[in-house]
Amino acid sequence: MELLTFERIMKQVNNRTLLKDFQLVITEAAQIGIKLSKEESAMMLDLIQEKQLPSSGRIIKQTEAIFIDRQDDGLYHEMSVHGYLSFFQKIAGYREPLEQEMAGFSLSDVWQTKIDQLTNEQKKRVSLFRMFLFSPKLVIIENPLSNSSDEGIELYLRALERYREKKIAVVVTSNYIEDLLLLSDDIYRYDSMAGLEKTDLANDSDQLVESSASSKPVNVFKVSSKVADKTIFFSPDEIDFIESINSVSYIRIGDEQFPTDLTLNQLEERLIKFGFFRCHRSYLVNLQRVSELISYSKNSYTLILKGQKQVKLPLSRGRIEDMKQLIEF
Amino acid sequence: MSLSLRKIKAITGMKFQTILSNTSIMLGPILSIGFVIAMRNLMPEVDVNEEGVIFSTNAFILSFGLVFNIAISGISMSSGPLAEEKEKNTLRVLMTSSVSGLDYLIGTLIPPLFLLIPVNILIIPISGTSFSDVQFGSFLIMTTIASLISLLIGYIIGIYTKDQTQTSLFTMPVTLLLTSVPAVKQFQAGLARYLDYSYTGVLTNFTAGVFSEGGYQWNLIDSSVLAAWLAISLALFIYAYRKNGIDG
Repeated sequence: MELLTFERIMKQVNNRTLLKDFQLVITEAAQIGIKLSKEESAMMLDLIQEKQLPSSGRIIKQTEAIFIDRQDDGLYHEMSVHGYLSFFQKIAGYREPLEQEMAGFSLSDVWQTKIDQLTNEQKKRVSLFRMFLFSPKLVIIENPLSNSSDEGIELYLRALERYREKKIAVVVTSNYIEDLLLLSDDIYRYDSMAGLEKTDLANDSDQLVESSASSKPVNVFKVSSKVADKTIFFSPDEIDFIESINSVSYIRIGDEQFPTDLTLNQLEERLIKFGFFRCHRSYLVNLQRVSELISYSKNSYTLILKGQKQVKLPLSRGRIEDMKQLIEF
Repeated sequence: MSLSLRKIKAITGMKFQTILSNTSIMLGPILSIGFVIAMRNLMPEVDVNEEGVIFSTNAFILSFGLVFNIAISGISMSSGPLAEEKEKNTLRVLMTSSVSGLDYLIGTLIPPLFLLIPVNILIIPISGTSFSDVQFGSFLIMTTIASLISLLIGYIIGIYTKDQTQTSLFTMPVTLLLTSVPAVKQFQAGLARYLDYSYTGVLTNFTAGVFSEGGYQWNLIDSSVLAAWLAISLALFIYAYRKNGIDG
């Protein structure tokens, strides 16, 4: 069952495009993570809450039971956790005793404590509990793991389990893909040029199943990066460039980098047919992403990537001729 | 827009709790009682009614206490918490928790009104006036309507301002003007007739009337002024609410 649909949303603010080709369907029980900057995330939430209207496209809400937890949402600090949740219990008309759920949200030890005295991690779980009382179909949470300790993250994930058990769809936005990997099953990355794209993910257990499969597709290559307990697969066309630092190759996508086990030579061998070019002994660049070649002096060349003026990749003097032949300029 | 009694009841309960534990809000009623006690002990008892000069210490203290409580406490009790909720983003949470603007407004209007009314009544004996001297029915109607007007003015300010600092900035001149009415009416005869058109002016007329020989008589001007202030503040409030919503 579909709960919320973004149909080719585009939003411009002051002649600047903030969201483009934003297309997503959120279904029941989905666990989705969206990599967005703070500004993009705030705009997405404003659009859902109809505080802003899209420049083009539309948002279809198939349910009214959508709850949003913004990072700067406030709580009544002078109230106790119990008092605060009892208040929202009355608002929500939630009939079950709150004590039944307090352990699930790891709030038993602070039940009578004033919210003012809670840590940020505890406050986030109080907010999660508050939304739970409304029996939502979909909750959208902004940057829930920012500044959280390992223990805080663990307790938050446990609290989120209650949502999974009730088959409540959860959409999380964050600027860090590592956070999204912990919180979601499906991850989408927003790219200002390509729009919203799904990132291929595989759990370790999934890999085992896949490796046992007998049939192997041909002519498919994805670069993998292991982060936490998950392996992320990147299509060659997603990658801006690959950089070798201390013999470790890092895949660079926008402002993010992901380590990979393959050496730069191995990557060059596999990616050359996808339009990658070894512009320097430490760099392998996706030629489709190159927008400018600048010559600062007779022997010094620099490549500039599309939409990333600040990224300047060195082009070796000896490689300039090869590149000229490749892209015929 | 549909109203939910369950939500209004929940908000009313929560607001009672937060207002009673908020020192800066409770300071208004406490100060109005304190000022009345202080003035009662410091001012000489005078009751003059000769050669066109009418002055009664009891009437002055009673009107000062009432105006202080109704104007200062009333306006700050509605504007302050609304601004605080906007500033701390707690109002946004409520609004996204299936609470409507009207649920919120009604729920938050009841607690300050029910705090202002007993303080207004308490000011009667504290100011040295006996309940039998005050026409209690008229007193209750007049002070309750005036309190409601103050709360609505506070909401209008709260809707248009963004934070507590801005709210204080807008509240201060309004409350200063309204609370200066009893004193100005007493000492500036030229301005007195214009001040009769303010709702605190009507309150001052009422207290003066109570201590006159014939007692206070409801008249067309006072009733119209009070009704007009209530109607205008209600209309302005509805306009502000429709235009900006409760959370701006």
